[in-house]
Amino acid sequence: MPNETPNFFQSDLFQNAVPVVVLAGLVWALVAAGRTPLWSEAYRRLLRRPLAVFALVVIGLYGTVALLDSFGATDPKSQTRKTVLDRLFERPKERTYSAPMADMTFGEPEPQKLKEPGTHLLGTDGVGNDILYRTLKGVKTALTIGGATSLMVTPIALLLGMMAGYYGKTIDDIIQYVYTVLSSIPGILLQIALVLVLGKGLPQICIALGITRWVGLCRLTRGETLKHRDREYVRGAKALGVSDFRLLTRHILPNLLPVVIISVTLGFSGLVLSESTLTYLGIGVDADTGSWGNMIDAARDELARDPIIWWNLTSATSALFLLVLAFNLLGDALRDAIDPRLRS
Amino acid sequence: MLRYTIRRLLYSIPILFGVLLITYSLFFGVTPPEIIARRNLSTRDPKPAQIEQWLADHGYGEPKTEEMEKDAFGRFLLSAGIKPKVKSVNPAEPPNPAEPATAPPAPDFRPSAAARLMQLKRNTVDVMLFQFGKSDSTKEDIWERLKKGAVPSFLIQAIIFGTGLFTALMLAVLVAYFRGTYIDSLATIVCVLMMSVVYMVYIIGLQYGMGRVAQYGPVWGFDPENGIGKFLLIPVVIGVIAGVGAEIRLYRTFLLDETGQDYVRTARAKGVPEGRILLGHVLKNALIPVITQTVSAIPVLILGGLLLENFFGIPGLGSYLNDAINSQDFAVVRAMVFLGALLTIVGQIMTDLLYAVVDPRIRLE
Repeated sequence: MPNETPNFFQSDLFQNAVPVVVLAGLVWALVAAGRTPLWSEAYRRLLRRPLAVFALVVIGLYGTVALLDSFGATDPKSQTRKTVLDRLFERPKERTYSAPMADMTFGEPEPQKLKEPGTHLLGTDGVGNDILYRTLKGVKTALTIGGATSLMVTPIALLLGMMAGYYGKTIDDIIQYVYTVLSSIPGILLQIALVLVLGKGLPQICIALGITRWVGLCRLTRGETLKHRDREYVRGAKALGVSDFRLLTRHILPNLLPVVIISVTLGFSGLVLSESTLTYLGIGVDADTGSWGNMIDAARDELARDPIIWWNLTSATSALFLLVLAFNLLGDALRDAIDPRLRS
Repeated sequence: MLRYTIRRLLYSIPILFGVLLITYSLFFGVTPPEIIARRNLSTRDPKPAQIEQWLADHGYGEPKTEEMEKDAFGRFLLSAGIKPKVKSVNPAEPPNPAEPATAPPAPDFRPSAAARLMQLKRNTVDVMLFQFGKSDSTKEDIWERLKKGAVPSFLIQAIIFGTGLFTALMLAVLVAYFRGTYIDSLATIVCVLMMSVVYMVYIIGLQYGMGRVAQYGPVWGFDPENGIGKFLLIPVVIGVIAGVGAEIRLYRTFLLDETGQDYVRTARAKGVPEGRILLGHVLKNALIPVITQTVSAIPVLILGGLLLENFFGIPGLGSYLNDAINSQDFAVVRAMVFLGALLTIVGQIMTDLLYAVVDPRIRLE
């Protein structure tokens, strides 16, 4: 029998608290970083670049949409959770496809008048959902998968990479062996296998992406730690009797962070792309969870029709493209802003 | 060279063993088979017999004693007293209407030691010997199907890889020639734009544009007797365009790393024209980091194959894998994971050996 009683993780309280905590953590990290000379300098450099500002604005907008899609309450009538975004787009379903801003349905032998003519900015899909709404629904899925996977992967990769680079010898051998084995399996194949075994769903995809993604970051951290291990400041601190833990967290870690943050930012765009690819392949999120991969999947048949239906595909890919572009641009700008080697 | 090759091959044995251990523990250790079965069965509340059937179909079932006797390892297990469980569910037994109140005891789907050991053997020794067994869904021999599918897949991906590498290198040289100018910044932006488009969109867009509108080639099917070229053209163009943005950017940095070297300055001082410096001197040296990159292209090629073959109906390995995903064919996915890993490991060995050929500074002994 399916269990109908909602558990704590599905409660409104928890679902509304998560975005608040995430947002607070992000703001705190940005403010705390801004106090250090390296990052305040980096912020100034970032804000001087128009492309970086554009990227930040885009990411901010997507973040706002995701927040609107996170806060909500359970509707007493239907017993389903409705977010602010759901409330904003609450409107009757149309019959079927309709072109952007159209008054009539599309592709039927006898086009019918729409219930709300001329108001669907991006048209409607096959079951009459507003495309703009479907596109905005994809934002939260993409950001959640990118964010959760990055949050999961970064500490593990940092810890293992720093340990391998700092201690060397057996620890290094073991960690290197583990990631060499994992990286020998092509990522997409491992993800397919993981999702088949773990099942579909957001957390499962995060785990599948995380397991294939930490290797690159771990390798990078290990290499950077190796470089720093024999530097004079580390030897000096060691000579003064600083413990290994303190040396790693207080001295080496801050020096690794710039490289790691650039890599995580650039990796984020890869995660967003992977999410929609996996969903397209049928091993991503469910069909009823908003995802651009699902919309692109639907577009295959729509392009085979005559006349073609282009608005579904165009909306999903534009939204995906803009988000990925923003993270790519931000990553490049960050690299220019904080990599000391590139500074004149 | 020979000694190094042998050593390198020996190093890859523990890696391959690790891969097999991962796939085994992934498919047989992470989630109890019963839960996987329940999740994948379409009915909401499956009967024990249905679960039993699913488990047997997907390689989780109890081995039969006759089957074990055919296999050397199975005979060994039987002689050691490790026997498979007898069937826990008997669907033939009619329900007894006399006592409807007592529910039958919940059947135990946990595999016996014999089943686990046979699975372990199948997923290490047999797979290493390329005996992948039969597909879960079609009961077809996996190895036969793989051999059939490998030809078109390899053909397409090899052409994409070669053409892509050449195109990207040449364009990167061009961009490096104009370094520091507007052309350079424009190219960088175009590359970032191209990197931000998801693979499926390249396929959908170009399939529509080149295939349906411009009619450069068929958009479905693969029929080598009818001229391979016309079936390959559009997929190859898509594969090259989808990968070229990221590659140009990467190769540009490799080239620019080299242009700062002393030998370039010397050549320039001697009056060698810039184009010849780039193509004759810099490109050769920049090829060394490029070679490292080639192995990391394997996953991209696999994903590309998966998507391209799916869209163009090419009966290669990609569409086989795609069918396997859709029909939850665990045996095929396991075989594919092993083959993909094997391919990567062989690729890494080849890279290391190639290094020695291109770069005389590297001594292998």
